[in-house]
Amino acid sequence: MAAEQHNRKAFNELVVRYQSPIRRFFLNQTLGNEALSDDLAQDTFVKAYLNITKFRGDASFSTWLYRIAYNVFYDSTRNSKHTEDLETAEVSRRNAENSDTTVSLDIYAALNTLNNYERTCLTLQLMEGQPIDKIAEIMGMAAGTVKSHLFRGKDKMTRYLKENGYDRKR
Amino acid sequence: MTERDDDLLKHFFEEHKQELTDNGFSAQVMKKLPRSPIQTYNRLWTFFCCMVGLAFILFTRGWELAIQVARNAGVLFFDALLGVNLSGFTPLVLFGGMLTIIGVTIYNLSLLKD
Repeated sequence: MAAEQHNRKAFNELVVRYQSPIRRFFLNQTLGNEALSDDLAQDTFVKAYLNITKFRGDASFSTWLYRIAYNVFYDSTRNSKHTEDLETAEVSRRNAENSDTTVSLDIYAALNTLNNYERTCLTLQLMEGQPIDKIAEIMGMAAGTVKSHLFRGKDKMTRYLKENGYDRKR
Repeated sequence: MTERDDDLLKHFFEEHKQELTDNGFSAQVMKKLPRSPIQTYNRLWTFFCCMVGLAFILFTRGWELAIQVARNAGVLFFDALLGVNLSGFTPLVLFGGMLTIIGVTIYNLSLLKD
């Protein structure tokens, strides 16, 4: 009983430390759907708690946690029948809210130009600061595949930013 | 992809990096975590034992015995206190003993505070 209370207290500290990056990860994958992101983030932490004994320590804890998060997201997209429609609707809703053209480029509209793999690779590298080998571990794919997704994703994103005048504003 | 394009992307993502405040999220997660069945059984067993103990005290009028024991203990304590013969101790020894007791008390209280 004392050991379990100690485990819950320790896990609470982990949740507090990692809640922002994990929720941010899901916000970027779901193109700004806050309610869905928080649900997925909660599922991630519950799964991490249930499987904490399987964490062997050969990877860093953040890599292991992101791997769970990625699998949770992947399962949710497989189970959701109208994922693409939801994403488009979410982005349209946000664009309608931000109809003022002077507002800076919406990141979710930019991320919407990418496919799921490109979006995950790009956000993990450029927002979460993960190196390619860790991204490969998180997504369960070869480093070469990650590099391909990054190359295509960056190309699409750069063209989108330039077309929308982002490079001229700097 | 040029270096300028890489800088463009890096700058864009840095500018749009969201930092999310907790706002009760961690508390919600902790509520959702399952409790181990051992903890539930432990609580049920503790509750059961408390009920049995309470029932025993009620049926045997245990509070009367408790009052009697406390009364006897009090009488014995004060009798022992009054029976102490201090004539064998010098004032210096008594003062030293008092200081020792005060010092140990303060030390233990300071440990509790930490």
